[in-house]
Amino acid sequence: MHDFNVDIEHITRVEGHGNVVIDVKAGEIRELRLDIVESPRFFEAMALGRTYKEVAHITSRICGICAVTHTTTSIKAIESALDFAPSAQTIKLRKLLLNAEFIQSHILHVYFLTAPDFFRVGSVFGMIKDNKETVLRGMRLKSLANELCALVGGRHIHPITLKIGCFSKNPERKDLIAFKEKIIKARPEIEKTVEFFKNLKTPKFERETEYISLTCPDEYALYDGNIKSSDNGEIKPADYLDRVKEFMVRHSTAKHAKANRDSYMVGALARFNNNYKHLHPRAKEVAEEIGLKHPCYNPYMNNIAQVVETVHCFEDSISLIDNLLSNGLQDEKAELTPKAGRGVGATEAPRGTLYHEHKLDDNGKITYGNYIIPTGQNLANIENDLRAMVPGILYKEKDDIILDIEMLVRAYDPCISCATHLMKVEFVNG
Amino acid sequence: MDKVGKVIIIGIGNLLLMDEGIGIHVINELEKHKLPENVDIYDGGTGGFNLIDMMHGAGNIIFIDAVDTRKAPCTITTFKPEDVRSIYPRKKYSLHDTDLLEVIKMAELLDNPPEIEIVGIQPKTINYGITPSKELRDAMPDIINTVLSRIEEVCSVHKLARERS
Repeated sequence: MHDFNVDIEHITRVEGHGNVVIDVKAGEIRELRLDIVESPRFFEAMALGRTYKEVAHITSRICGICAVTHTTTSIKAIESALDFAPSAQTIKLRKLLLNAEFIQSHILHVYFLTAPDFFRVGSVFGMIKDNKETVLRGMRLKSLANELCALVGGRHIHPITLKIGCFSKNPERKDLIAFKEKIIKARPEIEKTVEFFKNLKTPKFERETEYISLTCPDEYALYDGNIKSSDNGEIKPADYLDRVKEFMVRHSTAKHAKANRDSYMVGALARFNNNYKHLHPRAKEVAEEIGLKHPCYNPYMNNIAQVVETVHCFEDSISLIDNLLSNGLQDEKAELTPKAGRGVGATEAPRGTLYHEHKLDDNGKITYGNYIIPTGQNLANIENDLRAMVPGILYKEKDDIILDIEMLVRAYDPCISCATHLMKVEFVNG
Repeated sequence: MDKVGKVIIIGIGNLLLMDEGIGIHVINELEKHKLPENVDIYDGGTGGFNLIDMMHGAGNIIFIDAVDTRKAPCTITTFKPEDVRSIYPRKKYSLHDTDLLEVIKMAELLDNPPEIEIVGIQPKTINYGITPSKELRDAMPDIINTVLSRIEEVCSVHKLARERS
């Protein structure tokens, strides 16, 4: 197919979305863009003038799927501005809660959004007829992660125990013990998940790019660490603007970003590439079983990296629970003194590195805010992937080309419109 | 509490977008009322498919949400999922685009799926802000009365069923 023109409109109930526009003439790409037409986000403005104690409550509501990460990142920015270091126990509980969010988000993505593509059924509802047990397994694993989220965070959507300085309520010892047993009992389900995704045929496409993620010297960095680029090493989170360069493009109301090259990738595959050596041994075994070799330059494999990270997060949760139990959980209180300052929080969200920056005045009121979400950082890279990929698949039927394009965008697990969820309805007898 | 008797009220929406968060504001208001002991209320936020885990073990669920029914602002419309035209399947790039009807559809896979109804409130303004529009704030007593009467009716149906058995 030498000529190919497609506008893959994202049909949905709100006006914010990603449309892929591609125009190919005589085998040459004339136009290619990922249109993001959602309203610009003004969450930073909502934080201005509020006290440092209020801001995490606001940011926890930016997204229902990444609420733990937004809250954690916000808290870390405030703690940094106030020169406060949380206790080892608080950090472990935060890591446990982040693991819960990663598992829940990854499981939802791979089972509910990625898997239907391989069966060409349009959506997860199309899988129910022939693969009901697979869908139910996804639901069970998601529920297990939500249970952990509720155990540590007080509830599984928009957690409430996560506060500046410490947790307002610790999980009960007996509940942690019981939950560890549940993870162990769930291992066969996790193995079946690995088996299921191993047997799906991921499209072959490679384009090496710059990979950015947090990194730590002694663990697989999700909660904290320096910002690592696969191109040029590490910098401190406070210097994030030296690396992340946001810019506007005409066709998108969401900002794009670049660092050393004209685009970079964040998310599970970037973390896998940058921090492979710190994965849990079982996660490394799974990566090998499932065909994810380090380093990997196939963006479609981001989904597989999410499966590998799911295994890591389950196993790491067992270690964290053991550690918390052996040290005993202490009730904690944290006293923070308001003062002027600047703080940056950088945390890995399931979709990639999330940055929150705040400046405070002498009274601890917010005078400045800047949040950079993972999807904005990936947009330019998705376009570059498409530019590299589309010429190589023009020999296919149009429907197959469209599916390959859609699968690539979905592989990045984009958070295109987490801001509004207004339902529009049309009544049958209306 | 037996499953049949459990009634769960879930308010959903985004608290940062004025009337979009009306479901949560209603839940916050309901917390001030004494409700029957078989009734639980939850702030579902923008949980998407994770809302399913709030639905386990319920005989009845009442969702409260901002719904565009193309009627006048503050209009309250109570309906069941089957009253609405099917929208499946549709293209999706992001899990963040999950809407309530899809969540309900997925919940049909639960053992003994609950009876579900939706109290939909027509928003006036959806923009950045943590308080609803004046119109919706003024309409809050009517919204609460509607929700309370739905709770009363669902609970009385349960009571009747228990007496008959």
